[in-house]
Amino acid sequence: MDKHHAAMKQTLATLRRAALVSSVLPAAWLIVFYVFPLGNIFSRALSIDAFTDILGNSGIRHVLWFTMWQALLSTALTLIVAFPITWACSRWQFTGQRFVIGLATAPFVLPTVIVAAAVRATLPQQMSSGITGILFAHVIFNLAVVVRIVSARWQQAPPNTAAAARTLGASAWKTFWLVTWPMIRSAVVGAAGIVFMFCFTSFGVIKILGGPRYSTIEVEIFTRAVQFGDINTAVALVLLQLIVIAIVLGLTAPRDEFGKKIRVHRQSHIRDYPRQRRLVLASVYATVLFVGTPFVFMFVSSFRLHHRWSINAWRHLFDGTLDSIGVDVARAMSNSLIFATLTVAITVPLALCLACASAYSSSPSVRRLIAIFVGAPLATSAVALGLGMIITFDQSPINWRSHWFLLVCAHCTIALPLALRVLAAPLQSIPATLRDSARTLGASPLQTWRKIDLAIIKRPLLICAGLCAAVSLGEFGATSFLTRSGNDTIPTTIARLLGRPGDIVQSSGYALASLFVLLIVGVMSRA
Amino acid sequence: MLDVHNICVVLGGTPIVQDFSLQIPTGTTTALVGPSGSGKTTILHAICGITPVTSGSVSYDGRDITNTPIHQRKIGMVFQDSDLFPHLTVWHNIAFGLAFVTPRLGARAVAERVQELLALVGMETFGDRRIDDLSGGEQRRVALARALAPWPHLLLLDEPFSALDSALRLRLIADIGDILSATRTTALIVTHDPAEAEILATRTVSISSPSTT
Repeated sequence: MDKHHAAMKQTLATLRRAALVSSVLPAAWLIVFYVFPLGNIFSRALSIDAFTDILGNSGIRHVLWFTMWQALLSTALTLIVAFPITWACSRWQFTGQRFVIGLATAPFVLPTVIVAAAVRATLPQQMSSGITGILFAHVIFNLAVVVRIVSARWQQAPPNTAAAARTLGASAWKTFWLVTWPMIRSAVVGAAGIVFMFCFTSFGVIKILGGPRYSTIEVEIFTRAVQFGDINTAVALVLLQLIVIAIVLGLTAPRDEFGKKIRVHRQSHIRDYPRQRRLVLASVYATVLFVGTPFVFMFVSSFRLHHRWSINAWRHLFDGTLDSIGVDVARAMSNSLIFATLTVAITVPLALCLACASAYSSSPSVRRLIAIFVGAPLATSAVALGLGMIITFDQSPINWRSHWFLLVCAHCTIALPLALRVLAAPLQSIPATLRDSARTLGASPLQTWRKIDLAIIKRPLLICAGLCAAVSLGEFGATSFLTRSGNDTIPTTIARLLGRPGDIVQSSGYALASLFVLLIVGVMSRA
Repeated sequence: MLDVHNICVVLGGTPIVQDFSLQIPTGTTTALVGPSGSGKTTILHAICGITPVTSGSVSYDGRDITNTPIHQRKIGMVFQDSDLFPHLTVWHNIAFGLAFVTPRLGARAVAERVQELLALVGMETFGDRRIDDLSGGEQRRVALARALAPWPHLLLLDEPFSALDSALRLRLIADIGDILSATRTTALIVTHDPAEAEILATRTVSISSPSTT
């Protein structure tokens, strides 16, 4: 008996040791490709003068003001638009629910450039660049954040507490305000913080829809660093942006006051509740129209040339017509696929090492430390990361500045936090008794890990690979910094096409964006 | 008097309750006894309006309340898991329903009513406690006080003694019996234990699956 007990304890200890040793690799990766580049830009280029300059420059002050108010307005609109469908999906079961959730969350895994292209194809010509388009694109892109975060919390609120309030005389509105809202408030505020972060650091959307008038801090960092070579101002803006994001995320971090004893509750099927049915259906149709219409318009626009139906835009993608403007679609596609494959090959093993270190650790503070350390790139703008990499890896012995491999490194660093999130939770949820059973049946610690842990997380590993591929295929911020002639990816090519005048070029941009949507949907549905 | 006439409840295409009828005279306590899955909870939910009835009617004192919104029925309910509001203290849980009583009560009247109910359930000193800090039995008492607070016409109790240890269960059965007779509340108690029904109720109605009488 004692022998068995010791063997079981030894299994976890062996797994823990192995996981800790293997986590050195991802830790080193983050130090080299995240901590070092960011530390480098601050130590080399940060100066008080640059700060004084940006605050004294009326042009930059205008950018700061615009960044702030558009982010606040986008966040408020996203919450308003997301609320009905979040309520419907949290409280009710209905036919086609998975499709609606999938549709509402799909834009989030698409590159912002594509979402912006879809919005541009939808709005009338005179509104195609400006604040309306920016807000529309931000809402579509961030809908997923609110739906996912808030509905996860709302499903945990016991439905009988709301029913109890109704039996005590509270109207539906009073019940929501006095009972439901206190239970979901923390999730709503947390989601709002994340949406604000994405809108505050918006790059792809502003590049496509902002026109010459509108620029966010993120776009200004790019413009200062790449077009003006003014690294000092760019770095000061990076720091300013980081400070604002840290404050907002700190203020809106979810607090789990009532989370301890709460579980996910079964939803009622809407067909049994005729009174609420109309509201649920209205929410569903409105969301499908709101999210789906721009992508339909984009697809249709790819077949419109000089106000007539034509498949020429699709043909021109591959017949060499676009070579004259320096666009090689086939090359961009092969680049994107190679980069995505390498990103998957590097990121998934790194994330698995970290997920094991986190899951097998007996200390919650180690888990928290890993989550914060690995999660930091999520809160850092991709443009800042690109800037850091470009000024760090530009001298011997690692002069990768113009090497395509640096792009892959950036994609891996950006994908790693998301990959870790996908793998850590299922690993943590494996009951220790399963490993104990395997050990009592004669399996060694390595066999136990292979036959139990690895077998159970097979599906999350596939999802993780799909997510890493989607991140790499769609990454635009850091890629804009690091891409060189011949290294263009699909998103940068779409941006180039849509940034040029001319019907053929624009329609080709929509055709490539449509093709890319199909590619991403294909990748994610296989995962 | 509560008059439930031939109600049917179909959920997810499955009939849960079929042609169920029941009458409860004012001031009496009726127990609804039946095995798990026989639709007892669904009947309570249909009476108070949480679950819509597919056919049949529910009336109180001759008034048809089948389509009356839940919050206008004046039917109190004690849920199986108590389902107290976790973000409110005991005091505020009990006071919750008093905010919707017409004519509107003043702050002093609310305080007096809450104190009266705290005393009724033997928890005079618990007003400031958080719900998380209460034991299972204490939570049931608060749930009962909360449901009684706005003077409901009818009180529904869904398995109020489930998941309690036997000593606590016996004490709570006696206490709730005393409270119901002291307040002369018309009540319908759902239980699967015939012994509980015998102690608490003046009349017992047995149902089988799916529910009919």
